[in-house]
Amino acid sequence: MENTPLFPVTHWSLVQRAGAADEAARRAALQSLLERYCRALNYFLFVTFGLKRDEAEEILQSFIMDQVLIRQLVARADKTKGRFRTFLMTSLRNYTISKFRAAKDEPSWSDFSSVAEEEPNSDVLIQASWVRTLLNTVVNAMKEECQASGRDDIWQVFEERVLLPIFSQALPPSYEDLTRRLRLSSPTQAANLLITGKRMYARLLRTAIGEYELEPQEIDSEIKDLWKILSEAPAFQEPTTME
Amino acid sequence: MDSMITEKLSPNQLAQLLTLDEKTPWVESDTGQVLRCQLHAALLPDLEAVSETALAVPALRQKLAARRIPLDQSLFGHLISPAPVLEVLQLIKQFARLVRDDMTSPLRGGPATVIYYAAIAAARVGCGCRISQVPDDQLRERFAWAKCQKGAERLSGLFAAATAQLSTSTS
Repeated sequence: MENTPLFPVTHWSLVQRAGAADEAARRAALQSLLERYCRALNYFLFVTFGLKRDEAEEILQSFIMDQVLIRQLVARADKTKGRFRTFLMTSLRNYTISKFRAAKDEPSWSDFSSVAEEEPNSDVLIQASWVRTLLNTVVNAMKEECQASGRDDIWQVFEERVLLPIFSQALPPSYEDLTRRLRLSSPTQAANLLITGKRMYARLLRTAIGEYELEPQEIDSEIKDLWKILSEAPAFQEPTTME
Repeated sequence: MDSMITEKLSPNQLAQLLTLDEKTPWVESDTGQVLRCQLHAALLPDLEAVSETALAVPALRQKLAARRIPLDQSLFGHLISPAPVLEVLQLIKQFARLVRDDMTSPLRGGPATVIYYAAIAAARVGCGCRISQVPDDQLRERFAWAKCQKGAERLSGLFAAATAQLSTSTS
């Protein structure tokens, strides 16, 4: 088709444009990149350094100004050296540590510097922080799609049978319990709703990954890579609330 | 920052959400209730809900309508009907075989197996037909097993009648 681009807009093409010399293209691509990554970066600061909301926002804005805009960090990203998010988050981590070091006499930040420098699981933290943001988007998108299409039944069965057991590490509700509360007509209906919900979730997950990062054929390997890193990660302590 | 519903999940929990590969079986103690519920659910919508049996349903609607059998008849109602439609029983048997091994179905295992043998029994009793290659002595054992399963109480008469026919035909 005439208007269909030969290659979809991928993460790395966006990165290349964000590092390009053309000012207008660079600004547009940078803005798009930052929109995609800001929330994950903000959350990464919270998880890695235990920063409060205003502290995380302050240091992120400072990072964007100093490193991304002035020093043109994105232009230095190299596809052959690994994933862009790892590059970006590692840069943010290093930047934050340097800020801690420079501000050791400031009590509000000095408390966090030892945590940041000693953290042994930084790669897992980076990936976990990323996946956390990604999955939050996917779950919310699924809930919204179910509501918009009048399929609350799909959402409810999916939430009860899939999400809550993972979230609470508890046994899923029994069929009897589920059918009574959701007024399902038969076990086959329950199974069908569950299958439909899982397919919808898988589609939205692939869409979300395809939007920010990779060529379609690489989505499966991205999911496998993230799964491997996270499932083999040792348990580590994360802050549980964000002020 | 807005609160995130995934905020407190561990890396391992996040990994589970990435694949959803972990099959979650329905609770075993449910099987009786599951079977009872399926037996009393309307027959056709559930046969239509399984893609492998769905294609045959439009033709069955016509057969049921021609026989003046209500289209919202329950699975149980058709199994114990004095004049069931053979093609419907064959489709019930196929449906049961499909869901018997389906991890996502609450009918998986025992409940589906009971329905499978109930369809065979109903074909014997209501249509005088065999829809299974299983030898009679084995069918007798399986009917005896099926009628003892939780949730199958109301099918015991059907299995008893079918067993009596097996006895007649093998004597």
